[in-house]
Amino acid sequence: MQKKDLKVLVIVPAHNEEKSIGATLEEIKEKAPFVDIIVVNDGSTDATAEIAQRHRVKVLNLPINLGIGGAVQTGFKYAKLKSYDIAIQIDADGQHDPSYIGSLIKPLVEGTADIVIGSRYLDKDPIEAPLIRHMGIKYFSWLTSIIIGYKITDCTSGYRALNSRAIEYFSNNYPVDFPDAEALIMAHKAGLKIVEVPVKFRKRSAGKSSLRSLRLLYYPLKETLAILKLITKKEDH
Amino acid sequence: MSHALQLATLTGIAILLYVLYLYRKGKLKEDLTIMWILISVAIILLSAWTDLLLVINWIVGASRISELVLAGFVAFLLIISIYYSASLSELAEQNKKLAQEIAILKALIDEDRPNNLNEKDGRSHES
Repeated sequence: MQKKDLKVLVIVPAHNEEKSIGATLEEIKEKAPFVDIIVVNDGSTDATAEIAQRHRVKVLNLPINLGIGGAVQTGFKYAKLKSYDIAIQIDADGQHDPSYIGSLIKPLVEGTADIVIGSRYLDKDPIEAPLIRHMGIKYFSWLTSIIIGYKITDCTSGYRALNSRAIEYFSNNYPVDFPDAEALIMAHKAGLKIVEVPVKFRKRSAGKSSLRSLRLLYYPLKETLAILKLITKKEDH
Repeated sequence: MSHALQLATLTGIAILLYVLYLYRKGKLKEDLTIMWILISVAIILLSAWTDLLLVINWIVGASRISELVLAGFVAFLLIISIYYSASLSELAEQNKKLAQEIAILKALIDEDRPNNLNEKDGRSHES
C-alpha cells in the first residue's frame, strides 16, 4: 500500500498545554499535510481545547483527567472506530518533531513492523536527560529487551506509530498511568512486532513533564510491578 | 453477662438493623448486604454466647479473650480494606471506559452538527 492511500491519524494527548499546543498543531499540519489530527484533551483546566479547536482540528474532550495512557487509548479507540490504517502519537509539548513522521510510518507501510518507536538513543546525538531519568530509561529499556528478546533502546519514548493491528489491540488493552515499557511488553505478548527508528527530541517548549517530583519515585515501582504481572500472565495471542 | 458484652450485643443488633434498613432503601447491594448481615450475626453470637468465645480462645491459644477479639477485628478490617481496594480498581477501570466513550460520542455528535469548527477541517477522511 502506498503512503498516499493510507488513512493516517496523529493523536495528540494534551493536559493543560495551552502554551504549546497551537504551535505543535501548526507544525504537524505544515510538515505532514497528509495526516488527520485529533487532540485528546485530558481534562485540562486551561484553554487547551479551545486553542486546538481554533486551529481546526478535532478534539476529544475527556470529562475527567485519565492520565497519559487513558488519553492516548481514547485516540486509539477513535482511530479504530474510524478505520485508520496508521495512528501516530505525538506529545503536545513540542518535543516531537513532525518531520520524522515519514520515517516513523515507513516500516509500517513496508509491513516490517506493527509498532514503530522513535528512539532518541539511536540518534547520533541523543538529547541530554537528567541522570535519574536517563538511568530509568536505560533500566526499563534493558528490562523490556530481555523480556521481548530483542533490543529496545528507548522504551519510554512517547513518539510512536501503530498499524491497524496494533490500533485494534491497544484500543482494548492499554495501561492507564505510564504506558511505556508495559505497553511494549503487552504488544509483544500479543504477537505484535516492534521496531525503532532514530529521532531527535527537542526540549519541551512549555508545560510540565508528567514525570516529576514524587511521581519519579512512584514510576519505577509501578512499572516494575506491572511488568512482573505481565511476565506471570498467560500468553495473550 | 458483662456490660461490655451487652454493649457488643446491642451494637451487633444495631448494625444488623441498619444494614437491613439500607438494603430496603436500595442503598446496599445484595452481596454487601449478605456480608454485613453475617458480620453482625457473628458479633451478636460471640457477645451473647460467651462459651463460644471461650472455645475459640482455647482453640487459638490466645492468653486473653480481649487479645483474640482485637486480633480478629484487625484481620477483619484488613480483609475489608483489600476488598474495597479491589472494588476501587475495578470502578476506576469502568470510569475510564465511560469517560473515553463520552469523549468519542461527543465528538461524533459534533461531527454531525452543521457549522461546527471541527467540520471545517478540509483534510478529514471521515466517511
